[in-house]
Amino acid sequence: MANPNKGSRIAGKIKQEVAAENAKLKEIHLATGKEPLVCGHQGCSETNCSNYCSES
Amino acid sequence: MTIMILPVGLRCNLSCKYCYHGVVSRRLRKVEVMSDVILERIIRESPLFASDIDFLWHGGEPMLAGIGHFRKVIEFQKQIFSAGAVSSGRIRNVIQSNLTLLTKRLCDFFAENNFILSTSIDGYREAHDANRIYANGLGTYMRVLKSISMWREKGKSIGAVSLVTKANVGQPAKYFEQLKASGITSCNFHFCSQDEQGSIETIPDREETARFFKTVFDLWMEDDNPDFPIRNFRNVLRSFCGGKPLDCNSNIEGCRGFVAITANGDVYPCHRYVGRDNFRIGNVLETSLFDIYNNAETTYQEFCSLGEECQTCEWLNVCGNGCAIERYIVKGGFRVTDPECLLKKELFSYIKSKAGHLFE
Repeated sequence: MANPNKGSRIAGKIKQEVAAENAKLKEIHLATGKEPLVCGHQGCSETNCSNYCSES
Repeated sequence: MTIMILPVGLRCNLSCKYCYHGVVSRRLRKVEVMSDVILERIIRESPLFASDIDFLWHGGEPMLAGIGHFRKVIEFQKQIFSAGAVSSGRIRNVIQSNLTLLTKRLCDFFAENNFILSTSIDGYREAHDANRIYANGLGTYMRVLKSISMWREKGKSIGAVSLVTKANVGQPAKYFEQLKASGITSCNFHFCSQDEQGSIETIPDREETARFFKTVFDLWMEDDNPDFPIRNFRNVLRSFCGGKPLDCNSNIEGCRGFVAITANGDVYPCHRYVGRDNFRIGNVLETSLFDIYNNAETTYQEFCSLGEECQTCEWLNVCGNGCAIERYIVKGGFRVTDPECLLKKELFSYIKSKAGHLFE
């Protein structure tokens, strides 16, 4: 039988992660005055990849 | 910032049929292990790039360098970085390996020193062994499973790159079930790449590939297990709530976060360019790594350049125009659309139609 709420747990976790990342990006921006770049790469833990900045 | 180190260049103990290093790796197969002088120089200069560094050990097969090489890595890192930087995860060691050389001794060492392991596994045994083979033609699937199990017994997670090929594209359900059963804890599907040598014989057609991804997406959503992330799908879903892609090849500026150094100290923008002389941007024995990277700004800029079609595309923030070298190899330039543009658009639209409402 098909799951009527399919994907809701995945979506919930993704929304939480993105909200946390965006909060962190905002924090970096406020602290450094720079626009943060988001890195992306194999092996990345995905919680620690928003932490280097370009010149704004 | 990710500093990719190829401690044995492109040397590998496997002869995978679809290897994108096909042409160049034959030339570079006899490369020695990176010297301590080069290794130390790279690690010593790495803090100049950023406070957070991933050392990504790549190849070829990086474990061919042996445990002695990795002991040196840890020794140099302990000299350069504070213990806090390592324990907090700001400095990380990631190994992309086929895992066929993982011994108990190496496994213990990597676990003790907090290495992150990632491997490659193509779904189920027949499909994996059709392409991922030793030089004698024998498949590697069972050996990879054994290594995954050994690593998981340490309480460690392990991600995998999984290729969609002609050998597995027709069996998406089997592929998905066997991936989950293999012991890996996350997955990132890759399209089978073309190269000048032509791994075209392993590349499935677009319609079959689209069917494969749609089926796997549906199964993944039905499972609804957030602890088994599939990065390709997550990238798209993340965009529905303002998140950015997690991969270099889905991020417009993705290339900028990488630099790759081979065993002899030659530097390239990424491991995918290794052996292509026109993309060699320096050598760490002649120039500082940081200067090499900064002097290559024009090269990185070219990789990140977008054609007109991309600039107005609704999916740009999910797609990032794909991997630059794929565009170069297939279409002969960078300011062109991703070779898989149509397929990706179809899949993004499918995912939006199926899961977009969960983010409203």
